[in-house]
Amino acid sequence: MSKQSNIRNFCIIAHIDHGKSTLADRLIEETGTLAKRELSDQLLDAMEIERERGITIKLAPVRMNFDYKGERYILNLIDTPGHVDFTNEVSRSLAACEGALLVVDASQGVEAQTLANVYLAVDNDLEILPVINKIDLPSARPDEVVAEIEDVIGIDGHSAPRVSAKEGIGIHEVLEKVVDCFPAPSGDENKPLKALIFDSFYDNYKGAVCLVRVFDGTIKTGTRIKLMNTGKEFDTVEVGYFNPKMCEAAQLSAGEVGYVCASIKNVADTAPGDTITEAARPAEKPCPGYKPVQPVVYCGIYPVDGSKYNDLKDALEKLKLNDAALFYEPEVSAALGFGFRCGFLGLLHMEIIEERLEREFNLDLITTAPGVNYKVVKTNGETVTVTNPSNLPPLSEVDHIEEPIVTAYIYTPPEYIGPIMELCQEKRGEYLDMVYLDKTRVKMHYEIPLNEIVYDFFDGLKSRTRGYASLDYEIKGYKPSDLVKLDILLNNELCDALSLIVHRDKAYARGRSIAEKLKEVIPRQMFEIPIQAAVGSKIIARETVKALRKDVLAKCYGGDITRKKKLLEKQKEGKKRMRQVGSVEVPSEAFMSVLKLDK
Amino acid sequence: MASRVPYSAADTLYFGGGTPSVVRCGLLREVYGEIRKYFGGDFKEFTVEANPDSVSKEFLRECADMGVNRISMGLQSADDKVLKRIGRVHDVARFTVAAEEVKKSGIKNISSDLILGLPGQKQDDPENAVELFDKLGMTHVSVYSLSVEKGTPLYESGYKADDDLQADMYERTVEKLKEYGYLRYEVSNFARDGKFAFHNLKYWTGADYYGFGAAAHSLTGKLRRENTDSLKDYVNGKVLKSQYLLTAEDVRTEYIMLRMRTETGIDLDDYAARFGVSLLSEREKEVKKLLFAGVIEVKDNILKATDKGFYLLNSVVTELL
Repeated sequence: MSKQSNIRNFCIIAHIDHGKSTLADRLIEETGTLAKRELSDQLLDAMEIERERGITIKLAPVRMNFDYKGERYILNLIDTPGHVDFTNEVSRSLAACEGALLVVDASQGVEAQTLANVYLAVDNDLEILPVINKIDLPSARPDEVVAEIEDVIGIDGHSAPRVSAKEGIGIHEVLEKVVDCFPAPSGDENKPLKALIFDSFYDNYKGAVCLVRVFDGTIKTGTRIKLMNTGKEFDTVEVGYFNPKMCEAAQLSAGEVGYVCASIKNVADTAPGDTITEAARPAEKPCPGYKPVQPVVYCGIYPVDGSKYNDLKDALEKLKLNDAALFYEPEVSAALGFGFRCGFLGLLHMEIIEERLEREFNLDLITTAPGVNYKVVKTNGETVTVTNPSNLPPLSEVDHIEEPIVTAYIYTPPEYIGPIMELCQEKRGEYLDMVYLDKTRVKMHYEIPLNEIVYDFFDGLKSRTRGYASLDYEIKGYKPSDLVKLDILLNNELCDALSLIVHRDKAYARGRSIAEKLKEVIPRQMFEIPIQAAVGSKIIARETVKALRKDVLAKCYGGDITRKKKLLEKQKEGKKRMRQVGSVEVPSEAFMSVLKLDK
Repeated sequence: MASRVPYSAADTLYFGGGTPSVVRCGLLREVYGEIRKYFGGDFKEFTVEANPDSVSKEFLRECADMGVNRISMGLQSADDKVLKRIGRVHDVARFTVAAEEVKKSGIKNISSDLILGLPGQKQDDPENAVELFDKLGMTHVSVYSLSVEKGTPLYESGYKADDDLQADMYERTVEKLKEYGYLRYEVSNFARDGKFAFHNLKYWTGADYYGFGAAAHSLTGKLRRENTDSLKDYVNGKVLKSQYLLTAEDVRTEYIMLRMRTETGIDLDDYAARFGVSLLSEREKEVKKLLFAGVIEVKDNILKATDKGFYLLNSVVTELL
């Protein structure tokens, strides 16, 4: 048990590649928590994909000991994910801290995306300590960056440590400042237990492992706990902290950060934001901010090789163990066979799951166009929820369709206001207002259908603002909208996996560009293939893949039959990777190629 | 090495896959002498390949003495510019002279070839070639589509044959050949007056054959063998590159792939007798699709490629495999 006055709980906020992970590594190294040789680069980002993308999805708290002014301090570093899809997790982990290090690149200065998280930290009453990183770079301009921090964020930047995490410069000073600047936790050990779950993961032996910040009271092995939002009860089996490996402890008490295992089978029962209390003596109120996870983006995921369905199922099950936000259920497509309809927190979450399935489980996947959750109000008054366009009831039974709308905040330098307004207008956005955060930053406020965000919005924003603008959004509600189902027919047969729900005004352009794209990716076959885009029975676009004329082996004499046989067998093998839509062979890539359409 | 080859009577003999007309006088006869020891001397078809530019009186005399009754001599194109472009030494005039000399030597059964899709080739070049073959009294014509192999100067030049153009040429050439009495019996082979290449027919019908020399292939029973590509290894007795026994699946694959190349196609009764299943019911969906595409026809219990299907044989065969 540690005195609260000797504990500091903090996180690091940084723009992508401003050096958050490197700084975290240096802190761990400097405190002797791990020797240098034990550190694989950027230790906190445990997953391969995170490391490659330089982003953090999962939070991993590390407990470090730091001796300073004759006292031993416990510094708990809680890492935060850096993307809008995971805002919920960010705010949970911020809620677990008293302080935040704001890492700013000494040459690039403050970036828009960072601001959103800085404001979140401010909202959570965190003390913010700027750290100027990468001072070793020739292009470093630390004085200007300090001025920028004061201007833009309005916090004192003069005491900001100037460091190079890469070169190990100034690291000790950062640790000292953490102790000096950040407040110690101020909970009450004697009050009923109140611990915030800010993340959880699945361990094959221990079950769900909750990462917690204890605010009041104490938890130890044997404590009968209750999750305040779900009401479920469990017996505590083990508590401990990370150094950064799991390290069992006698107990965790007010002010401490660590983990709790309670033979919980399902990570869905340990949602971030929920509060652990003692079943026999519950806290009065849970920690604020609990939101049940709700997928907002959906797509179909199918194995390229139909016989891998069970492998895909197993892989999703495994990922789900660790990711309460992942949703999936089986679905069948005439074109793609057996697969799953999956739901995600957002597009990045979707991409990460897809990548993990392909990489960690070695699966070749076909994914269908991402869509959202539509509410279809039928003429008989019944409301059904539709995530797969193929499940849309017949038009004659539909009274109207409602689509999810998001409140979107776009942060941008002012020179891109025009292009962004154009983009938002194209995307059926409704302008609400705009605020100058300072001379160089504008926050634009829009309401945009989520359906338009999932289709190409990020790419559009990036290309129109040279990457300077960033987007933050949250679901606001549903609005009736003139939506139609856009179907694609190949050789007069419907290809269900390519159907989309779009706004009527967009149907023509989308239909045409999909037909054009398919013409490029569907190889010529033994007969001519008409590609048609249709709304209802009306054909709105048509392209044709000309018939293949020549597909024959050159001379077949001299007795070398083996080589020809192998060539044919290879060709047949290639066919297996194709999907049959009626009599048409469609390469797996075709389903994905329509997701990324050029303007 | 020859002693390891079991004796078995052969009725066709083919010297080729190289240029037999350039080797020193007398060598062919020596090789032929060896072969007779093991395979007898009663070859109803004995073919020797020749280049128009190396056909000499001595060579032809040696051939006639051995009993050669068929010469295969490539033309490739009837356009001198094209021949030059692809690095051929002969021109049309030289080919004409060589053909006349062959006939004068008493060998009347002459086969030639032409290639579709050569760089600089005009649409009517193959048709001109057919007229020339007719005029010279060729009995057999092979029509090949150019395939640009990696590592060749043509490949390096970046040249690609246009598939659609080749398909057009093939269609017109087949028509023209028919007009002059050369009937297709295999996708690339056309014969007049029943002068099929009986030797090559063996490759297409699964009969046994022995191949001698570097890079030659053999089929004996279910054993396929391929000789080393290296002349040096071959001469030093390291003959074999690889060999394998055909599986039941291989036999079936080869049967479909080779029979479909022929005008006689697949006799469905024969197929059922060999493999114990009906091809039509086993590949019902695929056959339907192929019929829809108009690339095969089924008549009198024979399944064969249509005119359109012959030039799409890979697509057709992979459906049936």
